[in-house]
Amino acid sequence: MNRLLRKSCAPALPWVAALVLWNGLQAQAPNPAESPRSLANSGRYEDAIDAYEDALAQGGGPEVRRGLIRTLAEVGRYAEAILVGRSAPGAEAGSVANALGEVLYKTGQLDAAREAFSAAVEAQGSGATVARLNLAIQEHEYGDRAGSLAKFDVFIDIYNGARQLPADELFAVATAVKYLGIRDGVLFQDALRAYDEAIAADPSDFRAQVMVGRLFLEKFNGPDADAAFRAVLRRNESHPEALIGLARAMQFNGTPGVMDQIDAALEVNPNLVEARIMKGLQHLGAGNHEGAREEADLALEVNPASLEALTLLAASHYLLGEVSEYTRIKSQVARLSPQYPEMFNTLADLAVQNRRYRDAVELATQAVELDPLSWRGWGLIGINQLRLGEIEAARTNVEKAFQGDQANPWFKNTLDLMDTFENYETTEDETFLLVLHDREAELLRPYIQEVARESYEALRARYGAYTPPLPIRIEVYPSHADFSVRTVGLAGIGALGVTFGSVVAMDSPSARPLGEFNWASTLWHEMAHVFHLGLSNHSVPRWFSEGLAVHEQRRAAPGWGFPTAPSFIRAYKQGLVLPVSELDNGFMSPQYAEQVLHSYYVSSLVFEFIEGRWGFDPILAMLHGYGEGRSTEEMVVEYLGIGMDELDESFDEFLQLRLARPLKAIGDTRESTPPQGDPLIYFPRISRENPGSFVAQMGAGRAFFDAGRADDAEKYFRTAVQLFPTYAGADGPFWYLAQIHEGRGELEQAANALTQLNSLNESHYEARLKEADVREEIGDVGGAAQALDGAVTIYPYEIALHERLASLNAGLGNLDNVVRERRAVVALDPVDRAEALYRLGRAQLDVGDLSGARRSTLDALEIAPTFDAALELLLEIRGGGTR
Amino acid sequence: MPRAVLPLLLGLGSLLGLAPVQAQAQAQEQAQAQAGESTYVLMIGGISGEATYRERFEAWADRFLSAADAAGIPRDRVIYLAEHPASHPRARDQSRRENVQNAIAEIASKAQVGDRVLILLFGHGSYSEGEARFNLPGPDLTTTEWSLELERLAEQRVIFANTASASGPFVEALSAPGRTVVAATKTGLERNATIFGEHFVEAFSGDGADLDKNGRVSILEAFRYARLEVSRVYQQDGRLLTEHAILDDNGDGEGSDALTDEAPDGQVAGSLYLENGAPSTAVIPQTQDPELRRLYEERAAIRLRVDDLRSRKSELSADAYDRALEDILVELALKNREVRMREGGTE
Repeated sequence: MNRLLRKSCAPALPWVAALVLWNGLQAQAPNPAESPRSLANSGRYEDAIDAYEDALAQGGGPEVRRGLIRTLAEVGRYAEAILVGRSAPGAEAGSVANALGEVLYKTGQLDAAREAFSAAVEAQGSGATVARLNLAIQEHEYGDRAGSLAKFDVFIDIYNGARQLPADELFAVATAVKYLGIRDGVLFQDALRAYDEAIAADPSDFRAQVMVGRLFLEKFNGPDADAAFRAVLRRNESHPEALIGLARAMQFNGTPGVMDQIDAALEVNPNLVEARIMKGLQHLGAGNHEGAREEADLALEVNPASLEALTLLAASHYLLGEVSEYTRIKSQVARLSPQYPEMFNTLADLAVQNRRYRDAVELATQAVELDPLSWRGWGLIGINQLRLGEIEAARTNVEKAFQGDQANPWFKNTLDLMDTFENYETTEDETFLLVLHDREAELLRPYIQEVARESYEALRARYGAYTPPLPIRIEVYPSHADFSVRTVGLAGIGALGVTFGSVVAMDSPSARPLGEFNWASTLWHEMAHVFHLGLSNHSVPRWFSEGLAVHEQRRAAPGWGFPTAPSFIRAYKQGLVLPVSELDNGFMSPQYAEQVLHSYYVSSLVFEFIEGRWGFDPILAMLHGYGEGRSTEEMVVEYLGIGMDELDESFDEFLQLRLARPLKAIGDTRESTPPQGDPLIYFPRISRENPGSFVAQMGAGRAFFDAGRADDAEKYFRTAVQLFPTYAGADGPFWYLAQIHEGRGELEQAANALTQLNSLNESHYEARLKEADVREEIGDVGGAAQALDGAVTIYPYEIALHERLASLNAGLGNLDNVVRERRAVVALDPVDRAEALYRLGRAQLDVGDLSGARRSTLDALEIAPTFDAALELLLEIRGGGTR
Repeated sequence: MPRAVLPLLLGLGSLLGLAPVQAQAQAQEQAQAQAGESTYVLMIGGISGEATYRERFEAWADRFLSAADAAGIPRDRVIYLAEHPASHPRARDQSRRENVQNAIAEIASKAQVGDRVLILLFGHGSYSEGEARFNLPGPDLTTTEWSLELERLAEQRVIFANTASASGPFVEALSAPGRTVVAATKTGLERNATIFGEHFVEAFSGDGADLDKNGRVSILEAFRYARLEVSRVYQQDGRLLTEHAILDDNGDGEGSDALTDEAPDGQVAGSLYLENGAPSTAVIPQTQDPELRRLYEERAAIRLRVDDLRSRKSELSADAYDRALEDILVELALKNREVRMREGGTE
């Protein structure tokens, strides 16, 4: 059945805006009555309860009793609320039955709740319509989901058949229509409109406003959801459901402080099951199963029939491989709600968080088997099939999901992305399946193949000859937005690459501005993940895998991996850096802006520490151990011979030694040195007053350098190097020292300074070009070529770079490299294509590739048939390479 | 000289198995290209506005004047009207409207039928109320007025290159049969200062624009070179491309990027060179040595076969085309060697 509410739904959004404004005005107005309801609405719950009780004692009617029940329920005093409901005189019983039923429902007393709702319906009094809704919801959650839709459908008739409905009935209509939205997405707009009408009918009833926020969240509109919840909180800063709603919106929007927000809700209502579950899921995301189970148990104490709480508990057992407990809870859920798909969907989401994509597909498949209208389930299947490289199956399932939920940006973005796949070229061998955009495939392929192969062989040797599932699919996206959609379904992800088992997706070097990253280093990082995920059966914690991958980067090439950032030093000094035992929280629930980046860095040092003290074997053993369901704590004891506390302590000691110099040279807070007066007087003074400050020395050095006084600048830069020798910033002391030496003609020293800079900074393109210039000038052709090879790993799109590399490699006799570079020049589509093809043909002939040489030369001559040199080359090729 | 070539090429056409009409047409084109027409240049520097642009436009002008010298164009056939004529020894006058008109009239009075006239504009353009202008000191010429001026050159082969911003509408306004119009921008709405002129000039003065390796740079090659270089510079600088140069030489008033041989424009511009005569590789050089002359003629015939084969590429399978192309090219390469030996070179 595909029916809509009768009236136009166009004004829905403006309504919300208008109401927010209206609510704001109301909040400023005096509250003359100080009625119990107004006390409750302003968050003075205890006063409200007292007032309601007084009113009830003074013979207050059913409205007072309903108010008391709802207020007690709002702060989690469910037992008292039930008592108040049950103690209603016979004449009032029908009028308060729905309110009572709602509390019974929240506490898992399902049969009693159903009886109460039915009694309210039979009484045909106040709350009868809402009770009818509650019966339908109960049927949907715990009974026949498909059948419940018919019960919701009735509400469209209620709406269309009435001239004007009271607020609570409009609320009921809106909620019913929201449920029907699963069948017809357009109805979500009608639900929004009906909620707006309910708000307009009774602005003091916050339930509809909270539901508007939830509806926005269901439709992936984080900012409007945030605004809707905040509008309620402006009037009642203690409203538990608005507080937890805001926590959800913050989580959706990536706003820090979600946990604090959840705790704020629990402070008002410690029995708020939704908050317990959300908190538990947060713990679960950070690998804190104990915390998760504690929250699940607390939730189940309040509501033993809570499907979400049981799901949380089941998820913990599932993720830890505790099959029997998982199966027991799964059966319990099935008994309570035979068609409940969300347990499997939630488990699938958690499996994704734990990079168990195959499991996610299987779980979501169980969800859609229970409820074929679970668009979330179909989407989870499709998106994770995509992560597993099963492109066609993925398309089918995401299309199905999108048909059911066209507002879902993940579904739409993913389909849009898949439509672009026809623009990608695939190259496959027994180890790799390389997927490159056809615009840059010819250029990038040889370089990416080389790094992929090199990393694979190095990592395979290091990780006990382990072979991950092959082929490894490497997708490289020239559009960062496409990479982002590929990864998380939305644009805007900050990462450079991601690994889904044996599928790697990453930014192409063209996806980011020049100098922002080193694609080869990124690919090495992702390849390390391929091994980590495979070896641990996708069970390695995030901190472990990320830290180890950065550690592998750092081992692969000088300067690769995260450098020691001054911001990290400051964070460490401020006590913000987490101990090893809590590092996962730095990734999963960061508490400050740079914490994720700092967590990558510090995690990598953990492996430097472990490998340095115990060797690599324990690390490998732990990866295997994660695959067997073992915990970090027990493996630290077994393989390192110390407890987690001791690891925390000894790593911290290591850190203080490792970072001793920057810890002295960088202040606790960000240092700012705005020049006051003549910089050549000011900065030297500051440097004298702060001889141990890296920033002060750099400031003085730069001041003299900018003034053209290189000799005076040099000593400051040298001091800066001593203070913080691993500073990797593009504007660090080595950059200036190189220029000073070059200016004096001290080219050896200039080259050395540049080499030092490039061994700290993986993406300083200009420094690599400069090093190549200087090294070539001093006759170090090999060093020049090496520097330019480094430049290619940053930005391979400049013809001149490849021309130079071809020439340098020719001088070194590295003829295969000459071919590679000449091929790159052709791939970059130079204006003088005939010349480029001719030079490629010549290089191919030099390595004995007669067939390639013939092809390139014919291509050159097709453009320029009178090209004498190419004609001669053709004759050489025909003669088998002899002139 | 043209008279001597025509019958020869006709003969080659039948020798190569080309249809007579096609061979004749090609021969006529070759002959026309070889004609000894003269080249006239009118270079106009518009208002620069600020010192940076003035330096830039004057540098382009200098570079082009050198290229014109290198191409052997007599200086009395090169007129340079500058914004600041006093500061440049070769500037004849200021680039005011009346001086532009006078210069065109002068060229029209001197040029013969079939001579080439290159009018090259460096500066800023503007576009408002549907009218594009090239900004001159004093009153500008509207596109309609430019069109009227160019009518004086109806018997010459005109190359009008406006490298300024907002120059796109000049293409539609000045398009005419036998006329090549180049604009640095596709529309009048591309109003940012352009860099097309720099690379257009560079094509004639540098060594990277001889794309077909025939020893010379055609107007089409210069256009393609400049267009691709502009695109590359913008890409390297991480900027959005705000100038999309176009060329029209088929008289339809619609410019195209002319980057491929399949583009609607480019045929005429591809046969126009700064220098007198046709590309060295397309002609039979003068020689008193009958043996060498025979070799030249044979080489020219082979080159025509390459052209013919290329024109029939779509009719052949890839393998058949490659084999045939390679066979002819090998023949051409061997003939080249014979030519060089005879010319006194060594193998």
